[in-house]
Amino acid sequence: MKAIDMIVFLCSPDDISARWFVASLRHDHGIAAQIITPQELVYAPDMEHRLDGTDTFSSVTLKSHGTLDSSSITGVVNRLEFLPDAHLARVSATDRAYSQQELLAIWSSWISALPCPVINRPTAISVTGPLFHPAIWQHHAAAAGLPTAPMLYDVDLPDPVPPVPVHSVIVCRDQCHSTSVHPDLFGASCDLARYVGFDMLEVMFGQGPGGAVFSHAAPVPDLSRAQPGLLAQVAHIFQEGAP
Amino acid sequence: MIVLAGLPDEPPLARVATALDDLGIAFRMIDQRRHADLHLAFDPAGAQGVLQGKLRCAGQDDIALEDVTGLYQRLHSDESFPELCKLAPDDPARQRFSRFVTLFTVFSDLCTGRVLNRTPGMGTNNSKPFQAQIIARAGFDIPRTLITNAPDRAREFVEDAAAQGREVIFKSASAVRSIVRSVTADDLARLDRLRICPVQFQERVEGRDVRVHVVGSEVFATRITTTGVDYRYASRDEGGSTELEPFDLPPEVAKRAVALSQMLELPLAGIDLRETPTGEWVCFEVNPSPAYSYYEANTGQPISTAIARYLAG
Repeated sequence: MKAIDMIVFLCSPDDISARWFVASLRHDHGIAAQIITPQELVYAPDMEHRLDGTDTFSSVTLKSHGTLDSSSITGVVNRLEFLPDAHLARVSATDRAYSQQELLAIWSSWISALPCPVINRPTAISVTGPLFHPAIWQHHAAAAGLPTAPMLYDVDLPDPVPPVPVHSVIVCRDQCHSTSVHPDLFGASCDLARYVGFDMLEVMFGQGPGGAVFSHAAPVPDLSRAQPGLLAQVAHIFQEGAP
Repeated sequence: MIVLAGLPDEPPLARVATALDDLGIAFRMIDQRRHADLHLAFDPAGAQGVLQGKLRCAGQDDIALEDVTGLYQRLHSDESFPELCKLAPDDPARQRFSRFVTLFTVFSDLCTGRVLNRTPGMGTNNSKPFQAQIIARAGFDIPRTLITNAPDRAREFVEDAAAQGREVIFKSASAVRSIVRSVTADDLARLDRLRICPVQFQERVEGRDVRVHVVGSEVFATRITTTGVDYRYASRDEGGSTELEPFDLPPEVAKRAVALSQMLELPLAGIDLRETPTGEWVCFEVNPSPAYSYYEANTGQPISTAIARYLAG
């Protein structure tokens, strides 16, 4: 079966904001992206991932979209947060844990190997991308120059609670999109995303005594908060094939 | 200050402690068996981007975390402690233990000193095909690999290899340890099981095994002569054996090994290489927490001394 050129949003079936974003990309920019769920990937009847020297080849045959491969997938927005394991329900606990680790290792590599632009490539330990403890986010936010609230992590105390988020900015490859966060915070927000290794990151801020303070960051932004500028930027990335 | 953390009598840690003593370099040992006496607290944002906090072990001076200049950690999970395993998973003592490990790992990731090794580098071994892509970019050959859930593709891969006189092995793609096995006729008859989870197949590479330990920019190569498919388990076979001896790695291969460890952010790395009969160097994987002591004990190569020197900067 011949593979068809396709821009792919990898996201959960109930990711409403991604569905809205995909519809807007089509309506406003004529880009026909398709949503592929982790269930479609993991339950695909035929997948392959080949490594031969520096050459890699990935393909998957989906019931919904036919065969997709390294050359036909021309862009990816990765919003995967988990891989399904319902098909392992009748497998023993030991084998299930093993299979879950294998699926993560395999699909993370499969997505990472795609030569097209991938917004938020997985890492070897997380299909979403880099995975950080909240204390590490806090450290990197401060190091990037964002205002932070004092936080003490103590082995004998519950984890500190971050400020309740009231504003957010979506960073996409050195551009910030927000109507509520002061532009003075854009540069440090971009630095944070770049330093932690995300192409797209939603940085949340709470209200501190002296103004906005870092709350937390989400590698799967709520795209319903996306501005027209983000749609145009993502459209440009895929139209230009920017790496 | 140099800190070692884990089980003091575990050979990799014990050998570094001895090497530091021999070199006259002061260090503190954080004994995980004394977990109830250990306390850790920090502010990750700290001052000017440097984490600030204290590590306390009852009866000893506090360690200011910002003063740690070298850290070698081999922390164990609660499953390694029988007294904790007897407790329910939600028992406060067991939860405190896990919390200490988590926070200590955060500290090690944010420590400004030399750390063997940090989490991002350690994580690359969780996906062998992911790591293999980096290995290939570093200039090493990698085994021809197919991961699939399609029985026909797997069969074709095995048959293609057989037509060229090569065997195919299969092994885990994740960090879960598996014994490398050759694909047999029996395996080919049960390929329908691939449907539940894809499997990693690789063409078997003929040649001589060489384990390379990189410590910073120092390289220690050990040649392994074995009777088994997987030297780690060769002695389990009747009459099976494995011999280790120091080996002089070609300079350009040693340079590539150091570059690979740097790409993986692993200043301490155990690199599994095989030199083919035609002189190519194939890399199978990189172990981010190598039990180098096995190789040092069998060859006398001063790996622990190199680690001690690295920690001392």
